[in-house]
Amino acid sequence: MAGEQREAAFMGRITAGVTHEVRNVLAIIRESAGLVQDLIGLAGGEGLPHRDKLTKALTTIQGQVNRGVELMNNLNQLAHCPDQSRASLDLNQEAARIAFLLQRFARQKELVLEVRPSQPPLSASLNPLQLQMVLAGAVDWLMGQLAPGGVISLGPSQGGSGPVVEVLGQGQAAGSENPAAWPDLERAAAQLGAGLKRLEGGPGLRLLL
Amino acid sequence: MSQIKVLLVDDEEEFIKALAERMTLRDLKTEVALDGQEALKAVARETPEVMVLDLRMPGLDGLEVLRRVRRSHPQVQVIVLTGHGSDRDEEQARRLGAFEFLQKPVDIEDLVRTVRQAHRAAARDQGGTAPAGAGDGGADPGARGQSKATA
Repeated sequence: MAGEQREAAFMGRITAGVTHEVRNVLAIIRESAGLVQDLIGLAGGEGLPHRDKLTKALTTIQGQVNRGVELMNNLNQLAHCPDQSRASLDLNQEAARIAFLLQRFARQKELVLEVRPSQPPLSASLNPLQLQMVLAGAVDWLMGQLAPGGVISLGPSQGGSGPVVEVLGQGQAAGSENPAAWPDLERAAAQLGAGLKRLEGGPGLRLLL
Repeated sequence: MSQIKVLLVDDEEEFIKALAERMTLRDLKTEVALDGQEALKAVARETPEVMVLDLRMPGLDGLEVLRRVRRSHPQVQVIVLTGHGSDRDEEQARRLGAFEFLQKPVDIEDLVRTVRQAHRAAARDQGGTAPAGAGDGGADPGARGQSKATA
């Protein structure tokens, strides 16, 4: 195993372990809040001061637990990517996972990041971690080119010679792009064994798998 | 009305005690074990109808508990509830006879529904029927009044 692979495997193993522990933490919070909610229910409608505020606070806790669970599930799947050097991957799921994990970065730039899943779903045999890195790199390249209010979409589809993923940007240009982003993306795509083509007529690229 | 006896096995004490209280409020009779050895003793002492079992515990792990319980008390239905479950764990647990494999955190109503389904399956396996009411309890503890059983 090469040095970089060992490092990725180490990070993945530690991260996956931590996500499991955080699930336990979230489970304790959910059950404890749920127990309080049950007891409030048993107390009946009258006689409990601030009942509505308590119920609202508990609903917030449950909502945040659900958010944490979804984050941990996606992070756990990403952490397990280095487990296999090649696997049959559902491209809709892969695009959805990286889009979910990059939402925070998109929000910070006031961009919308979405997935347009293919029907039927398409799969390809690829290195899971390298695919995630290329998709993240493509989104990053586009985020540098769009002004706030723009939309980035990831769309797997069937191309002439195999599956493709188009990453498209819509909206006003932000100015000049980061000059290092495209060469980095080309290197990542070459490592994956995928073709990369910049689209004409607007910011976007096509990844040929 | 006879209550379903449920043994909850998990080394996360705060989690399992809160869960036990919530299940008790939903008319299930619960007992708690904090590790695998304790779970086996509890099964020998008072055999539950359903067991809710974590996988990663110090000492005897959940899969070993599942293997032993299914061998010694095949009538006990085991629901795995874990925060550490991989696809491989699920495959192994189902091969060993787990009734269901759930990930933490789980919605309490989903868990209670699964416990009741497991109980009905156990009754069918034994050629009987689940006691009236034991499989069809409502979900809202507030609508049911204080539970008679304690964890």
